[in-house]
Amino acid sequence: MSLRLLPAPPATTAATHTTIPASATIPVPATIPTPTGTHNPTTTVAPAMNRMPQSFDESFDEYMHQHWDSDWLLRRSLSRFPDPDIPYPRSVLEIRFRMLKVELENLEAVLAAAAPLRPPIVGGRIAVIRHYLKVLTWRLLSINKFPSEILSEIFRYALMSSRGDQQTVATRLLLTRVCRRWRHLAIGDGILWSQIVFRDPYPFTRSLTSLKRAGSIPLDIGIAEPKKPANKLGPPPMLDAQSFTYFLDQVLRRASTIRSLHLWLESWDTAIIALQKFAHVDMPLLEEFILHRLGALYGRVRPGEVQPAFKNPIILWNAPRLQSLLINGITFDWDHIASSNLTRLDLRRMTMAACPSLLQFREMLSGCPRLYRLALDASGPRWDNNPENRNLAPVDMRSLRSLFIGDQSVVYALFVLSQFTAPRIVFLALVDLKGEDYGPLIQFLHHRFPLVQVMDIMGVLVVDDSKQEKINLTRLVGWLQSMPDLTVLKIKASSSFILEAFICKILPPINNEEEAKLPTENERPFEVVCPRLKYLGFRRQRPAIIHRLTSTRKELGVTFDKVYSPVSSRALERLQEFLPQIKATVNEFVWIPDLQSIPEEDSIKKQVNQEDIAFFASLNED
Amino acid sequence: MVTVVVSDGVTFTMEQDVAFQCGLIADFAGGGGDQEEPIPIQAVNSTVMRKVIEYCEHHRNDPPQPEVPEGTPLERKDRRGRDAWDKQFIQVEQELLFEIILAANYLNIKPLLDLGCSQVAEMMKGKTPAEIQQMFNIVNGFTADEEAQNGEGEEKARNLNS
Repeated sequence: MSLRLLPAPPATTAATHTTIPASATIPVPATIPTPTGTHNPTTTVAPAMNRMPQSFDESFDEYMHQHWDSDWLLRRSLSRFPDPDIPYPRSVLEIRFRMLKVELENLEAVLAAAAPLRPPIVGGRIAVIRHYLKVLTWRLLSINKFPSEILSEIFRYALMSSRGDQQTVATRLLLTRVCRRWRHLAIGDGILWSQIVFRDPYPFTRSLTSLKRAGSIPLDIGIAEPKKPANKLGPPPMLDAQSFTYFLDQVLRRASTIRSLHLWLESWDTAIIALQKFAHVDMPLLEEFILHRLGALYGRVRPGEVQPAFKNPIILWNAPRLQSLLINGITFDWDHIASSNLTRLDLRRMTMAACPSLLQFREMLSGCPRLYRLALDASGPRWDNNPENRNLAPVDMRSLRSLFIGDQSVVYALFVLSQFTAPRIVFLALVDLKGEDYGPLIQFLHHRFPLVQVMDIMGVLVVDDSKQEKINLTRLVGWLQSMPDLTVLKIKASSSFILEAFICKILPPINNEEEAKLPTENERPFEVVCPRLKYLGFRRQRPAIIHRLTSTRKELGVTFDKVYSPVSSRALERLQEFLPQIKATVNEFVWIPDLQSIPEEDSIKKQVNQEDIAFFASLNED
Repeated sequence: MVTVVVSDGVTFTMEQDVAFQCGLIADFAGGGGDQEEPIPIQAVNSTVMRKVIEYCEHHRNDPPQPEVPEGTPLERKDRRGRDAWDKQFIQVEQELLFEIILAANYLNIKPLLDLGCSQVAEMMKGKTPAEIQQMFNIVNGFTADEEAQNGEGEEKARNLNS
């Protein structure tokens, strides 16, 4: 008897490898499966593993040498075994396992003796044996020998590594379908069911089953109302008023155990129902509340329109543990916000009438001694013309580390920023600030945020004012100089003019006669703007300007370590001409999926967290 | 110094900060000074113990992990992250991986147990119930009714993903 070893190599070069004596192999599984043809299309396959040898140069031995450990090959080999339900003599497998181990040792000795030669046939056979040993190891071990607490831990990790709610649901289903023991363990572990996103159709049978299985474990709940089809001919949205009322009634019965609640609502109907329901609920465990009311801006009433909810803001009557609050496109009862534990406050898309008054806003800030992140996107305090409120002392926000100011006029942004001081900010984002005169805002920013390490600038269109004696450039340089620790810059769709500031040479005043005698400015000592700036991410910026920035910074002795660009066909096209030059002037050029968070930010976040632990410990001591 | 003797009679001597990462040894030693008598570790053999000590030596200067209350959401558990060294360390044959998990559980080394469990969970990724049954040598033990229910569940899952 002989065994056919697959994948079959090209006959002309490796025919001698296709058969080997039975004495040297094991009968089960009878063959190494072919990576093509019989492949089950439902399984996920790493592309490199799922292929035949590609050429005469890539022999079978090389193929096995590279892929004997592949997940794909393992799965195919395991599928050739009889079903585990069918008894199979374990002793036979154990004997074969030992035989193969001996053969492996012998072949490895042969290989060692033949060194530096490496006969491919021996190498290929070693790879085959290693593969069979791996297969047999799986068959000889049973995961069900683990005690229940270890299996449960594995289940939790399996769920934790699932991405998105669909994969989470699929993982849960998987865990309940492998065997009785797994099913029993999975259903009994409430934590596996406590994160629920209501996406199933009314009456939410699957999600409500999860709710039941979660038991008394704190719940993380999300619901996203699908958008109405653009042509209005498709199926009706999942959440009509009736089904949303039913959903909220079911969920709010467990209000006392809800830890986080995320709602994405499209229609006014659902928003109004939410407002009415929340007005009467206590959520003592609630830590995170996120409500995105999408669609038309809340509070902007067109002639003939009625928005009854406008008079009834969201009230979280009893949420003493609330740490993170995000309100988008709807308003809140600013007088009843339990803010003392807030670490994240994110207000978006509010008309002026829906915003908190200046005094409410300031009270809210001063009531959040641990606020870490403040984001104000097209929102903030109501504009206040009362002269008494114009000169109030700014609120001291020492714990604030991350600030996002977006979609505002520069005049309003200046008004907002003047309401507080936050000297420990490390992450600063200025996005879509509109106006004709950026000068006062830039001037105001001088020395406001001296610890910034990561700055995100998008849609900021400071104009080149060369006709005005470069006042804006001088202001820009002054602002940047006041942030000496800046390490990461992300710039998108903004004026090229801003980047000019990063390549200015700063000439200090002449200190002595020697310096005064130097014939040219180039020979005088100079300072570089933001000398620690090492990482740049850019999108929708002129490639020529990026090249000018990277090459000049290199000349100034402050070469960028890494420059990132989001990968897209458009970006490739735009950068085509300048890419070689840019690459030549930086240490590394990296394509990434997006600029949301570049890798270096993670280490800065960790460092900030460590600093904050010490900072809050010192506050507590005081 | 702390000395332990494992199931195949091999003794290992290690420094306290290494040994006390094993909750069992710390409990045994009572947190006190040097132990004169070797501590018997009957459920672990020398091959596995070597790996365990390698792990504990690498992580000897890590800050202690806080207790995680039951019910803490999965993603918020302050578990020791898997760095490149950990990933390399846990790339072992399945047999050894299973033994490391059992040893970590027995010796009460939570981070090592987490590392092993996450590695097994990683192996399950993207596989069907049938593949997992084959892979981990599992007899499913379902009754005919339960099998039928599972079939419905599978259909639902397919609908969900479609």
